[in-house]
Amino acid sequence: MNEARRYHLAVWIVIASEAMLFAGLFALYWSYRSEYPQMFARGVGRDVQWMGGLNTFLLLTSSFAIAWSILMMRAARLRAAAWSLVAVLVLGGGFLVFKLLEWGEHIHEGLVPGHSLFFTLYYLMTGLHALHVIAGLTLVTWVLLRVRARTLSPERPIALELVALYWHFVDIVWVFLWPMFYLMR
Amino acid sequence: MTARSLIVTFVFLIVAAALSWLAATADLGTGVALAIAALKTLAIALVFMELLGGHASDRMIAIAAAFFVLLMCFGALADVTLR
Repeated sequence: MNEARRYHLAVWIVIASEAMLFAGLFALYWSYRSEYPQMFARGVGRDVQWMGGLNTFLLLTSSFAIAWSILMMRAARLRAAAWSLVAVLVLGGGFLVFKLLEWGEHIHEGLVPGHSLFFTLYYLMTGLHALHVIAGLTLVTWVLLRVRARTLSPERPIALELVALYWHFVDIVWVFLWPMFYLMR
Repeated sequence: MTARSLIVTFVFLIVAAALSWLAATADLGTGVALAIAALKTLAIALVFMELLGGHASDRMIAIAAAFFVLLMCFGALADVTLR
């Protein structure tokens, strides 16, 4: 097994472990939701719908941008790859800004953790996801610096591929959080 | 992974997100919302994460992880429903 394959396997195992972490929280959500359907319907109704939708668009676009950066890197178009990574940073940063604005709005309305089971889970799960976004953005910044310094090989940009895998996982988690906390009444 | 496959997948994801919102507006239920989310996940995993045409061991880990996530969610739901 070569070095690149070993690294890919390691990151897939990390992603599987992270999926188990979120699976526990998803299970908790579905248990409470089936016990208290009206409370969850009210909670979903109080979330800021347009911010949830916009954040979904930002993360889906950032996933496309990081996949595009790999394509550009493999074609030895380093400048285009670097700009795609800058786009990921802007989109991911935008996601965090809107998430903070939304939390601020909820806190202003008194919807703090502990207000209800729905909002306790909302802060716990979206907060944990936001921490993953911050970790992802840190890794994207690191890989962008490596692209700029030309220390990544266009033939096999392993570091970029591994960071992209993690970023796509963060996107997938949000793909489920969005309907759970914003759409399903 | 080609430019064409990336663009087609991105367009699919945006259309699917719009469908999620429309399904919620029409109150089509949790099943539809989750089914659309599952389709989006599949598109991201197969194309963006290169599971399609990628190494078999990556696919094996991804399938095992998805299976255990579903098992945990269904187990918890079954506990509450059958209590």
